Amino acid sequence: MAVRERIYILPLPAGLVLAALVTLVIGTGYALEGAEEASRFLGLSLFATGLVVLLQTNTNLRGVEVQGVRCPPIPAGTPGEIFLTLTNRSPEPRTGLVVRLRPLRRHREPAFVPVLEPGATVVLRLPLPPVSRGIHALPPLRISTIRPAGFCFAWKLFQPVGDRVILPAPAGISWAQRATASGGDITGVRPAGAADPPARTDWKILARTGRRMVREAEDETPDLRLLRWSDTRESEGVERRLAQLALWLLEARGDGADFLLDLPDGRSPTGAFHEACRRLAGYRLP
Amino acid sequence: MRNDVVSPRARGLILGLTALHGWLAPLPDSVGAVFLLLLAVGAWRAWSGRGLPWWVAIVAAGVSGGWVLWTSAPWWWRPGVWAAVPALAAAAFLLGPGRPLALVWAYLANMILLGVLVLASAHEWSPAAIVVDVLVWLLALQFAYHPPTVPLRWGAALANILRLFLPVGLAVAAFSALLPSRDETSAVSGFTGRGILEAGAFGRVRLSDRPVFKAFWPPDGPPPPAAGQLYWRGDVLEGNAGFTWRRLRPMTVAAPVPAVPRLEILDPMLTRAPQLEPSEPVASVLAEADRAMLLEVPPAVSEDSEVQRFLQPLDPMPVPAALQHMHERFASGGFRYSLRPGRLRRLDLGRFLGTTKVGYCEHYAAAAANLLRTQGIPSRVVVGFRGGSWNPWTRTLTVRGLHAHAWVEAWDGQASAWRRFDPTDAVTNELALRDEAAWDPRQWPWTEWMGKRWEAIWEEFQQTGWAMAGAVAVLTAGVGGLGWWLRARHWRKQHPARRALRRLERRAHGAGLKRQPGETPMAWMQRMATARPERAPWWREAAAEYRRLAYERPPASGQARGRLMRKIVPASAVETKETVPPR
Repeated sequence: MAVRERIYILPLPAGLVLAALVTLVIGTGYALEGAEEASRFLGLSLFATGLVVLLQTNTNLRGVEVQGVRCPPIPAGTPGEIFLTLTNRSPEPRTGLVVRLRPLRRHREPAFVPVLEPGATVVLRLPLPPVSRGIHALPPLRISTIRPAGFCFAWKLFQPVGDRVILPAPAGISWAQRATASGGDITGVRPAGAADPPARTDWKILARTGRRMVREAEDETPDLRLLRWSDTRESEGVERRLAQLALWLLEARGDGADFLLDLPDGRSPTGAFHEACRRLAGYRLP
Repeated sequence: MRNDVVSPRARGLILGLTALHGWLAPLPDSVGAVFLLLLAVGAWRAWSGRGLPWWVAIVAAGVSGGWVLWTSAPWWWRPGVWAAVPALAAAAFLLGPGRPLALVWAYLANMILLGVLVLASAHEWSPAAIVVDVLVWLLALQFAYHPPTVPLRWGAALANILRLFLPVGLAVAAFSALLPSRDETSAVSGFTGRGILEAGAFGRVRLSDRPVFKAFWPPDGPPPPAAGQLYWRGDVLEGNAGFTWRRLRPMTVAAPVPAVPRLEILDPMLTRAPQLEPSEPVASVLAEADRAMLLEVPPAVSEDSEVQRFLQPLDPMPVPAALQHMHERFASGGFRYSLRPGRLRRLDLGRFLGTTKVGYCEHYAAAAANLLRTQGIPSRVVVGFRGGSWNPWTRTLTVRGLHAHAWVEAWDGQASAWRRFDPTDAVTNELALRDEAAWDPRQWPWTEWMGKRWEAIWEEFQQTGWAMAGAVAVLTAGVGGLGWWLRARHWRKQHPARRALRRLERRAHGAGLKRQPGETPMAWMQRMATARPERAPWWREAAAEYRRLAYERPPASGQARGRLMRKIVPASAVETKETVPPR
């Protein structure tokens, strides 16, 4: 995790008004006979107040770090979430922290941490807008605060290390509907899908009616599901074939079954869900 | 965060401190009544946990402040009117819904009010009181801005403030010592302590603008006399050596002194406190032994041909007439006032009267006293100060080195009194004009351009009457309409999801279903769905629609926005006001 301890700070409108007030008090005291000493004292006290608030606002961000970022793989076209682990490494509590993703125009929903005690850790969940399939860089983070007095706005930026894996949107026939080579009792027929192998075609029905139907078998699911690129050749286009594989992958994950993803550019280790997701998300035709 | 709220205790604390500031302020009665009314409404709102919409607070502050200004013209030098505006603004900000930002603006209004209080009665505010007030307010503001769900550790907060405030304050004070100050005291005051007025001593004194002393008039007492009558009597010099005069004996003023206010001596070298001279001559007694002493003139002066020529037309006459005649001789004799007259020696009186004719108060007073003595009128030189800079807010008169002055006292045997004679006035009206300018705040440099314009505007309004009022109303309506249009434009430009959320929050707030500080919209809707199982489908649907609108749909889709509102409005409209446990 690359941590930038550089803190930026700017006055809010109330801070600008306070600065104008300091100038006005000192200037008016100088113009009014006999009031210079007291007004200067007040002006300098307010000036010191402004500086104190400036320092406190700056200090309120010191030691606040993003310890970790987790972004679960999600299908394309669906809103995602990013999980942040925020920790306070300073000996003082930090109050009123706002965490937002950048650019702010796209990520409108911030997370607010009312207080973060010394050494405490909090997990934040921020929504992410949907994007297309691929492996995207995580957006930069901004942690900001206007506490403790609301005169200044201080912020620091983090660039989380890691990426966001966006699977192809799952589509196609389910694994249960797909007949496998392992065989089993035939329980019926159903219209053929894009990923159904020709060997499962019920030729009699095809000859009689002209419609391609495939035979369904009972208890077809083997212990190891082989998710092969070659099994999706009936689907048109790379994206559709990837969508079919993504559907089987998520089903295997949901069923708790072992799987092995076999793509033209290589195989992923058995049961390595994240590795498989990355390969599906980042697949390009060789 | 827009959904931040402050605890009623914090709101009450700010309200109490505002009431304290208002109590210290010299508010007019009507303003005080409005101020108390606003505070009472604010307190009731704080107690009930609700607030008025922000625009009600703004309108209340604007209307009451504008009314005060409108009915108090000319208002620019009345501290009570200046104090009224921030006091009313602070009270109005406390009417709002109890957001931290409103308390920040209330804090700023209170600091403006404190500034007015300090400027209006500077001598009543000690530096310690100012610093304590500022620190207390800073602590209260931090309390108000603290998350209401977390208790504030007061000791730690104060220590945290002081830990920064003290070094910063010391650094600022050290830096401020480098700034030029008009309030610094100086060892140059015109009174050396030896009672000797050397020739040319006043020239150096009058070039200094450092204050010598301040005079404080009571706030409810009569104002000081007119500027031209303010003669601050210092030493009386009777020993005559031409242009050099000396004090021969300690002089006590037998005459009753006017009700002069308290004096604060700023120059440690000032040997005695000046006394304000009465405007009319006061009956006195002149002993015969003193008369001879008060007629002594150095022979080099009395026998000088220029002095004789100056006195030639003068015949014996009553003292007031003689003084008037001498005034005219100085006025028409081609004399000129200058603080840099060149070197004049102790006995150069003849050269001054006949040749150079350039000098300042010290030269004219010495010359006039010599001339009067030569005519047989007992006279003496008085040194002190004339005028001062008047501050009507603080009712303070500041006398500086540049106000040092010398004049003459001539004994009027018929009236048995010392008559004051200021020959410098015959030469120049510069001092009188300066006094007038320093006296009238409308002639101060910083108010000249501002005050006169306001006066002109006010007079013009009075002349034009309702036509001007109509124009002002139209202008005000135009500005208000522009503001409203800009606000509506800003509202339209906001993301549809945010606008829909604001509407939902407003409706839910009316039903007592507030979004907690720091709670994101999705978390809020999910909490509502969990806490109210009978309405859970509504809230879940609203949350899903919000999510779709915020993250999936293009922002310009009015159809989606309308669908969300249709889903949301029945959900909140049928809600009854019940207690929903916080997260």
